Amino acid sequence: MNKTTRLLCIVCPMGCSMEATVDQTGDYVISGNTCQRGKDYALKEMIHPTRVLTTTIPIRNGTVKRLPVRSNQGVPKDKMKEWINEVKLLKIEAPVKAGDILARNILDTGTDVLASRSIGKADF
Amino acid sequence: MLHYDLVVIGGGPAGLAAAMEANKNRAGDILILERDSEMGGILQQCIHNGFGLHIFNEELTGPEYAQRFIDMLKGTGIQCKLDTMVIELSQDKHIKALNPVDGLMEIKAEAVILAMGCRERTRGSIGIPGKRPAGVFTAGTAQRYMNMEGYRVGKHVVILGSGDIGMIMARRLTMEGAEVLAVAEIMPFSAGLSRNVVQCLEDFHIPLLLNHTVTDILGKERVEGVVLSQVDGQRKPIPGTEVTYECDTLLLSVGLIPENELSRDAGILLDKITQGPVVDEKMETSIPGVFACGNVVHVHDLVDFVTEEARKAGRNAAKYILGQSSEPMEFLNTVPGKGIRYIVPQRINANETSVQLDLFFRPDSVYENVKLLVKDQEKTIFEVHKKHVVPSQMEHLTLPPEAIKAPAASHITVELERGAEA
Repeated sequence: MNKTTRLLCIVCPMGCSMEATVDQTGDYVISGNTCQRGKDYALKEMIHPTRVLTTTIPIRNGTVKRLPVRSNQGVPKDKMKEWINEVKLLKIEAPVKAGDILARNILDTGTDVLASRSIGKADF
Repeated sequence: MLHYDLVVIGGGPAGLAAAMEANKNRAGDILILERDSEMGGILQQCIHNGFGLHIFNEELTGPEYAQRFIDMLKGTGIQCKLDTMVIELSQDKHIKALNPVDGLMEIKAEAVILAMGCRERTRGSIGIPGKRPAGVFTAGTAQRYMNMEGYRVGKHVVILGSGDIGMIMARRLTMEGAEVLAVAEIMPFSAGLSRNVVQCLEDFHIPLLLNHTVTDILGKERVEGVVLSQVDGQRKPIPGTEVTYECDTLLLSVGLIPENELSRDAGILLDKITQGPVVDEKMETSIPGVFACGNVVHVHDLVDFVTEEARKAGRNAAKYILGQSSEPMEFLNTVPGKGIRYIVPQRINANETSVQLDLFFRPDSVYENVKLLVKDQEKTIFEVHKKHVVPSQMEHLTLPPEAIKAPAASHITVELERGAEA
């Protein structure tokens, strides 16, 4: 009996309902997608699901208190909470520019954490 | 008295794009008035990604999107005043504004662009009973406290409203170590994008309770619990279905309202449904030379569309200033018909019907396999098939030039002809 998983696509606002079934060779067969990107997402979601993560961390001597940050690419779903907690340990000082790489290869996932915005140095 | 060719009220994504486009089109001296201590508007607190797919072909976070425009401002000569509150806009485009540095300013503008954005619907507006303990926040307020001030707003949270802000906060709170017990939604369908149901709720096993609402808030000094009840077909709570959830925080994500105090006081004609100004295809309001764009006109789902709309307003404001726009002769109204909640623009200049026209609208419910019809009385002048339309996703249709040739009446209607209602 083939195992079927139902998925809702997150690639675009259409949100197509898809199904992933394992065939005899052990490969996934995707149905219900209306485009290639959806099919790619479904396969990735079955084999190696990842999510882009975002959070904020404190920043010292900046014009504002919190620095929004993001992962540069998808982080494995099973490492989401750990990734966030690891990033929260970073000590960052102003000034910072949007796109600055604050740390590389978090928890060996091959993903980096970037600054989402520029923050100038406060002149106290 | 200060004089500017163009004054833009609001320095968020709408104001920024409008000012830049007006500048590109030689509007002259431009001033952006922003009430916050920095530019970027609501984007600064929207730290999640999903912005910019259309405009930049990249998936950016809110602050990244804002930064692109803020960086583009440099070297343009566009002036910005921060911490500045506009308190009055008059019919003849005189503006009164205040800030701690300049004090009270009086500004005369040739043209004005309204880009004030929107505000959140509150507990009072939807009449949730109960005491008033601390710990009840609108979702956007909680987002600002968390993302910009660095406060943890609560540890055990219930969220009312499955709009995108509510779902995004459900994820955000969970990532920050809070427990989100449930998201309650009064309608039988989610109010936000389905991708958010997946990446904000399902990813974290947060239950989405459709056909539910909050019927009581418990706690004296601080929220101690929230009572959720099921609702019937008329959205009324069903007695006997109450379930108490122990929590210390309730977030409300129950609607956004365009912020139009200034528009109202200036005597600008507003649309009862959108609660924003009535605009034409140039984004011009009922006052010649006053334009509007972004969430102040109608609440958007994607900032990319805000940018496009704002550029339209900026372009046309520049034309107005340069004396290049023709006097409106008469208007053709766009009327929402069956299945359509509202349409922007609400009217079209009758002498502009030889150009391509973009209409933006929302359906009043979820529909599958429908035909979208644009009609001039009984005649269908344009039709397109839509596989799937939902209220939480703004739709767009482009009327080809000459589609409205010598209309029989003073209006055209947009309506849905159903296949199957979901």
